[in-house]
Amino acid sequence: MPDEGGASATKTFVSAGLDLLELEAGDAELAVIEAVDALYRPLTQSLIDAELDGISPEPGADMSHAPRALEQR
Amino acid sequence: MSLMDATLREQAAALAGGDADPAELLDATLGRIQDRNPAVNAIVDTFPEESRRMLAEAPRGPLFGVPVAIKDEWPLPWRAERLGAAQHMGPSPSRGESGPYRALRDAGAVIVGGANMHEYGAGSTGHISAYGPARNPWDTERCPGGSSSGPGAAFAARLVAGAVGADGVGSIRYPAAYCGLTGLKPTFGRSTMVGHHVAQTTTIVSGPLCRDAADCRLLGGVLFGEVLASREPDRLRIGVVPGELWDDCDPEVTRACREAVEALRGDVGGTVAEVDFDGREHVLMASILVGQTEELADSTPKRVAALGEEVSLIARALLRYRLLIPAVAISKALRVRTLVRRSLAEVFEHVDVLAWPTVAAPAPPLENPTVEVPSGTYPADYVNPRQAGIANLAGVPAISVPVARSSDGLPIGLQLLAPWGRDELLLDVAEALERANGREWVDALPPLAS
Repeated sequence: MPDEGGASATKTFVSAGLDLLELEAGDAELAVIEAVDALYRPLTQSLIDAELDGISPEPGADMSHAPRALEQR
Repeated sequence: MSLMDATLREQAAALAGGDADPAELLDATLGRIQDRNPAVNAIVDTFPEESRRMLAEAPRGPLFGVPVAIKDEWPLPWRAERLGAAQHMGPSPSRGESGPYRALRDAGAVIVGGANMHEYGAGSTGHISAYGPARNPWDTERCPGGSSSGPGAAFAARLVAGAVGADGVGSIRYPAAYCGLTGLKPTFGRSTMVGHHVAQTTTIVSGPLCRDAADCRLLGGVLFGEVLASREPDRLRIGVVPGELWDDCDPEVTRACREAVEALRGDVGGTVAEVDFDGREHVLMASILVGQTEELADSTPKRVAALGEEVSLIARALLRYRLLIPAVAISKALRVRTLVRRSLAEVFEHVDVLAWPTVAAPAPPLENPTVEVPSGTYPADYVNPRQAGIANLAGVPAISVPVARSSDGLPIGLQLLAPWGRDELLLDVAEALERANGREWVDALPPLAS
């Protein structure tokens, strides 16, 4: 769970984001969003922080088959 | 034993051989739905006239005259899907011939009911739906699993012998594990997806929920449009992944699944080896982000704002939250997908299947769908995608097989994954596992159906 500073930052982020979108949210909706964010924010942040430079792209990826480079190997 | 309690293939054989009358079976099935469904709320709509019309026009296909249910995610010619929701964003769904409808019709099957689902398909529990929650036949105060909650509960209550669901982040496998049945998430692209509302999906598949692997082979073959051959597995290389997939589960679940893997190895021979794949720490978030953002193009602030209070509070909140997802996270999720696919392909050069628990804990209460695992108490929706999301993220097939019951009498499921296109292998292995367990768990009946 985030500390108070994290919770405050979440509130600011959510409120500002929804304001920018001109999308209203009631207190109950905001409370749910904050609870969800408290769970998922660390995982999202970890993903954002991940350095994934070494992964070669998979052009024309086809989810029904193995990655092409490996199939051709 | 009543034919309604028989397997899908037994029903099909009895009807094909003239040993049973399909009109009588249809009437009996509709009667059982009427009697038994109020306790589980699995079927949200029946349409006897349309069912009788399907039967009257049914070709002598592999499912001639066999009653099946279909998730409220698929349009039918006489009924638009509702996705378990009271209101939709964007254009309203319309009636039509979805791929699963056509496949069932052309196989001679009779659709007897639209089955409940978690609202918008956005949950692993089934405890939220515009129709009210579906209930788990093993304990009607427990979640049946979602989002294919109705198909799972409908089979487990023996309303039908087979049902068609859909799986975008585990939505066939969670109800299979929670309700003690067999659920196949096919390789992406092998089963029909025509008419699905997320036309651009790269994660969602249609698939069967049935008693056992042989029935999944039959119903899955219909959805694939091909016969799924069977073969005796021999000297299987089973891969188990260290870490949270096994260890951060209810200890009863971990123990039962480990015993099941050993029983499987004992039956078919071969090896159990630890293997690992790259990107595992990001799979939960990446599978959620990839899956949920595929629908984002239909979303606008105006459409979200128009959702009224008949839509659940959590859906209204989550649909707002989705609009705030940073683009960099989505881009990274797609990169993780590539990493995981490449790494899994390498892993599958060394093992035939991967195995770990389908869900981390047995079905949670409807009133409080949280689960206790060694790392803490969490919403089931938070933990479940960690176990199931990788198959959707990578596109590989996966199956959940019942392998035990908890001390509370709730089913426990083992998940098996195979390389792309090896769905048949999964079914072969699931059958071997059933045999190793003396079919104890696939043939078990919940109190409600006993």
